[in-house]
Amino acid sequence: CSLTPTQIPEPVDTLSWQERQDQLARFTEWEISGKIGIITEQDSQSASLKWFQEEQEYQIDIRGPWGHGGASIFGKPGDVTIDIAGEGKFHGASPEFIMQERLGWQLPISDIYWWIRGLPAPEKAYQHSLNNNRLKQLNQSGWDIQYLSYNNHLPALPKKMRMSRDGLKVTLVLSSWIPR
Amino acid sequence: ASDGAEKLKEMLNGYQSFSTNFVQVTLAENGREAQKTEGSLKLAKPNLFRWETQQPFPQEIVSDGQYIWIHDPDLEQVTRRSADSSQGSAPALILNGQIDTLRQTYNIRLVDDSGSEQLFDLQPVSDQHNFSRIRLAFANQIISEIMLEDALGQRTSVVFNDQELNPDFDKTAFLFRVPADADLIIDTEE
Repeated sequence: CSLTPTQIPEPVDTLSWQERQDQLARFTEWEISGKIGIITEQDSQSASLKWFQEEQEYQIDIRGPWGHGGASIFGKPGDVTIDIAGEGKFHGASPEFIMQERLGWQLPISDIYWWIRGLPAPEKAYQHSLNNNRLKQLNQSGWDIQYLSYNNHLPALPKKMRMSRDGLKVTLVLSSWIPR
Repeated sequence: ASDGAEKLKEMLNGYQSFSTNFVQVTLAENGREAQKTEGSLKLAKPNLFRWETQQPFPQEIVSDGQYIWIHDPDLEQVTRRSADSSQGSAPALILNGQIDTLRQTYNIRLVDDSGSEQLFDLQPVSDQHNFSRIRLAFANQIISEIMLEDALGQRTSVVFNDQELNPDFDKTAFLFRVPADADLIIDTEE
């Protein structure tokens, strides 16, 4: 007789939207590696992305090809440092403030902390649409966020998403999520 | 250590075209392996090259002599820059053997020479450069590794294998076709 391996059924993610929000809100420690594409009116960049999150503290590393250029953002509530290759270290109360000043555009890191998990940021108005109980599209803080694919974690986490606002379009590919 | 620039120029003049596979490992400053990917490089002096990496971070960088195309399939993004705008990146200058240009921005020292193996150490003349240090290793007169340390303490090592000197490429080797589903961005700073 042939020894067919017992197939463990792939755990199907059947959480309701409310259950999903509760679970994901408690998920606050991770290590993401992936890619980020940033398209502005003048230029476009693509870089590797590493995001280490531990409760309220985070480190985000963005690196170009061959580790060329890039930046690291070290954040604690109210105390943020952005180290830009070849330019130096910049301090401020929020990453958005420093980025706007140094780069002329900004990413709402404080909101992305929620969006990247497939959640709207709390205490802010938003519109959204769901697809099998997961965020498909979200409008918040002036941004339009499209969730293009999810991975097969339980609960599922975004794998590819696109955030756009005015002339800025940011694509995130989140190849691996390692819960810490 | 003797003047490394002349020796490096001599070692990189031995070929007009070059092909290799490579393994690229990026280490975060705490030494942990942050990213590992494999790829291949085709190059024809003075400024044609195709640098491709596979999963998990697929990317294609092609210089067709007029433009440099950076294609990220998973981001569905293509960036086109003028060929001379990023010719200044050290790895491109090294692999193209443009040492006279390279030595304007990096002090080149030959720190080890055992005849069959050489090691070069490059340090930027001023600190306004993205790479705070580059090391180049040669074995049997062929480049075997490029080690790059960026100003943020991250180290990337590119180890070459199956290197081939002066291969002949078919004429489509350095052409780039924009895929239908990609956003094409023309870098307006041309």
